[in-house]
Amino acid sequence: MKIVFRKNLYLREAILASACQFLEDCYLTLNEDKQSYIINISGKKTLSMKALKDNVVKEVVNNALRCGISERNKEIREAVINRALLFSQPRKESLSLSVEKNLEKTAEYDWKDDPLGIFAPWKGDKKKKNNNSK
Amino acid sequence: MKLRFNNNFYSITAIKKAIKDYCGLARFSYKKCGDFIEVSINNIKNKELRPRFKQEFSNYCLSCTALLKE
Repeated sequence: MKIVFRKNLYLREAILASACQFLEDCYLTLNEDKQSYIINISGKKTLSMKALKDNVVKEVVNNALRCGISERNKEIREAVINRALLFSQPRKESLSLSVEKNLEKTAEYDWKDDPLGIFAPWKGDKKKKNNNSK
Repeated sequence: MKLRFNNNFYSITAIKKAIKDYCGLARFSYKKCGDFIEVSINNIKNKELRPRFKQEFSNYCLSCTALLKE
């Protein structure tokens, strides 16, 4: 049985995609002439040929619609994915700059300077304070 | 037995892969003829497979084409 689809209405990808879904139910060969795509079907199981033909046509229409929509949205999808990939990467320049600034700051300090007074023995201070109060 | 596959639907790589996978079952040869790839099948070893060998092989070529396109 031959099913003919006009080239100006259906995409080749739609025909191929829908043909592949019926490989278990029937034997298929794909062909084309100048104006149309041709699907040759021969039965494999006990499914009636008419039901099979109806299913194939439905699937081709469905896939043609899907291909058309995906073709129209191609640029939008690409833009969304590009943007997502772009912003998911860490900003290397700004990160390295901040690290360098921190390193420069720490290089200025000397541990002997002790600006927070960490090295001062607190016991000695306490004794001095007690002596002063007496 | 000869099979003709349209170049615009079936890729040569898929047909080569199908031949490679089926080579244990028969003898294959292929050539390009314009828009078609012509595959000739000879010496099908299993007699039970003979009546539907051609169709099974063309189905397999189609599935290989779809797989390779993905």
